[in-house]
Amino acid sequence: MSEMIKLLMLGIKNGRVTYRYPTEKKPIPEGLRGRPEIGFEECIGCGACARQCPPNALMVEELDDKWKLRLLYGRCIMCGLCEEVCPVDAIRFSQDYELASLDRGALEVELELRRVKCEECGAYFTTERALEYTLSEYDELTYDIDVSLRKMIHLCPECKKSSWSDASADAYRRIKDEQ
Amino acid sequence: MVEEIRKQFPKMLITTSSIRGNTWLIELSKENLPAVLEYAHNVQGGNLLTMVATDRVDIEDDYLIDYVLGWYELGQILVFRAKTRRGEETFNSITPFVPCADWYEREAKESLGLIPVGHPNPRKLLMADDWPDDLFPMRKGFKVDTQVPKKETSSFPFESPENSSMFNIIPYGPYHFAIHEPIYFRFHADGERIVGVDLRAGFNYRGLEKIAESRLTYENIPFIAERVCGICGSVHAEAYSQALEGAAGFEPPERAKWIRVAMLEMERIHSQLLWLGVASHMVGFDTGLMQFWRVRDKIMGLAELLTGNRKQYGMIVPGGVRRDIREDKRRTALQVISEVQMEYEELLGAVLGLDTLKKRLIGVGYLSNEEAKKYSVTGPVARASGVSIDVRRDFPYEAYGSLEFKTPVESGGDVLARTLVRANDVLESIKIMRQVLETLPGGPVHEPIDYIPPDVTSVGLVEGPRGTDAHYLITGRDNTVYRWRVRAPTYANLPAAKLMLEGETLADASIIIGSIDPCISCAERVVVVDLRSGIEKIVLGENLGRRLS
Repeated sequence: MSEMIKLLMLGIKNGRVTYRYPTEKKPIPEGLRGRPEIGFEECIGCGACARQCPPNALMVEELDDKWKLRLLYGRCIMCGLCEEVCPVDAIRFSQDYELASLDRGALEVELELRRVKCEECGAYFTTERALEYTLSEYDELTYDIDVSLRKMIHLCPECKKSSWSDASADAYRRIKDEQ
Repeated sequence: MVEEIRKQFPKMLITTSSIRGNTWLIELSKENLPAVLEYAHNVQGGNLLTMVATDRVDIEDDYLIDYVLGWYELGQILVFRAKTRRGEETFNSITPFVPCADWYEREAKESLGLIPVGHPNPRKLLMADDWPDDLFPMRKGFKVDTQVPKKETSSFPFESPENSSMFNIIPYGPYHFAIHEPIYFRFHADGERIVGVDLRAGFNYRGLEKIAESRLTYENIPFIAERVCGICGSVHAEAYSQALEGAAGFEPPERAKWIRVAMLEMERIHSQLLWLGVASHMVGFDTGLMQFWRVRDKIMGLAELLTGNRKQYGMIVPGGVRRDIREDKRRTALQVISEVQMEYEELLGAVLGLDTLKKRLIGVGYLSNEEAKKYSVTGPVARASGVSIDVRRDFPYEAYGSLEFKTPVESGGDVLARTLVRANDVLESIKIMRQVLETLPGGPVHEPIDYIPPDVTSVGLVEGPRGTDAHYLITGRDNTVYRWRVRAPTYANLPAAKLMLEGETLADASIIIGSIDPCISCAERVVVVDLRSGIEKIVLGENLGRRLS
């Protein structure tokens, strides 16, 4: 019997601990992995996030001149791998944890980027922004590399392969000559 | 143990080799497997940790059949391996002598088409009733996106006791308000007393292992492993990481090891408090539910602070952990742990003193020490029957070797003993948590694993809140696993529920099933039993939809 009284006292002492959600919300600590947000301005379209995503919440679709990234919030498991691999910090996890919606479309985000053609064969191979990003990274390098190598960035992987062998042979010959 | 088995069977063992410090691989021929395993399990007292069948048709043109046994008191793991060539998809069942191998062998039959010869009860286990009989999902040729045709007619052959017409059939599940996850028990009841039990599991089969080996990389799998279970996610991520790191011969940095222990213990405190609440609810003691969950919410808040999520922490990955515990967070965590300890001890003192509660739990759902060993049960279920096994103590992984803690053991074997084991577990975990947070060593929390050699077999063992979680792994090429097999503790404990239930009353069924803390999920069909006419109808999902619309 005394235990029953003890329990009663415990209940009275601690009182109500629940929150009157949704009018009253529990404070959330920093670092919570809420809804991931895609930075439409920052994304360069490399597709690293979609490769890493374990549940395929992020998906890449490559149409001829368009590159599409779809994010389905219904599938997302908030693991944060995409945020980790993004080279330009275009995906960030927000503090928003209220994902319920009556509208299916509200749980889907789509991003579209333009793709560029290979200067040699004319096939689409990467996005404009990814190309710009590569060029800017390239310019930061202090190496004095041949201009012909810089041109190669505008080629698709297949053409790059074939022209790489030519260019490297050229460069090798030139170094030999200088010596 | 290797020596003793070699002495007993000098001619039967083909090769024995050490895979890792405490793990040995013993190869033997398919015919000798039952005799050796009977000796190892029944005479030498090995605990069956897992049994894995692997399709190697793409490399060696054969199947591997591996039984993994562990000796807790010696700290040794033995992998007994037999091979069978393609074309002869059979092996000799060990279930007649080692009853706990029942589920594993049925799974091998279903997922790989390997027939266990001599199995007393080769029914379906994991797949839906309308899954075709000639389609085996774990074979290498089966593509993960296959559209599976449905079988026209389907039913499940349930077992009945003798004179079953004299008893009432009580269906219990798959959706039942007293069991919180989908499993279907079928009781034959003589009035209030349960005389026969049969169960149908597999409502939650999601094919995670197939997804892992066909679509995911080594780095992705921990996150999918966490989703094996909603409550003990870190345990699975840790067991997987341990197996992978063992295969690569990699040691995570010291600080990462300690943070991993903190994650695992935080999860254990959470899980046991959750169970104490649910168990209180099952016996109609809702004050207990509310009060235990009040304490539990503090732990969830702590998890949110340290990891960024309330559940599914996403912390443990191969190579270390993903987030560091900062100094200010460490101090807050210590404070929360002290609060939890104070409130928990106060609450537990009041609850365990309740005579009405004790009367519901004493002598109910008895599992004897011998039965516990025979069925290779693990975790609190084993420890409540006097089997003192604990992976943390017997196979010290991560930082457990340098921590001080006790393993709670009870000898009662009933639901009360299982409750006490879990209740004391929380106090030990709080002790460990405090030690970890007070003496957290410095250094990095993650280092990349340089090279993972292919075709290495590895076993990872972790003591989860529900018992031993065993992950078996064969590494593959191209940054993917070749075979990954998860043995969650409930897989070992659930077959023993049959023994606990027989002879008990229907009113106690819920707490007895609850006392093994089953961890199941996701149903897909409903069974309707018409008691008056005795006609059973199995309503498939599609028919149900039609009826409702």
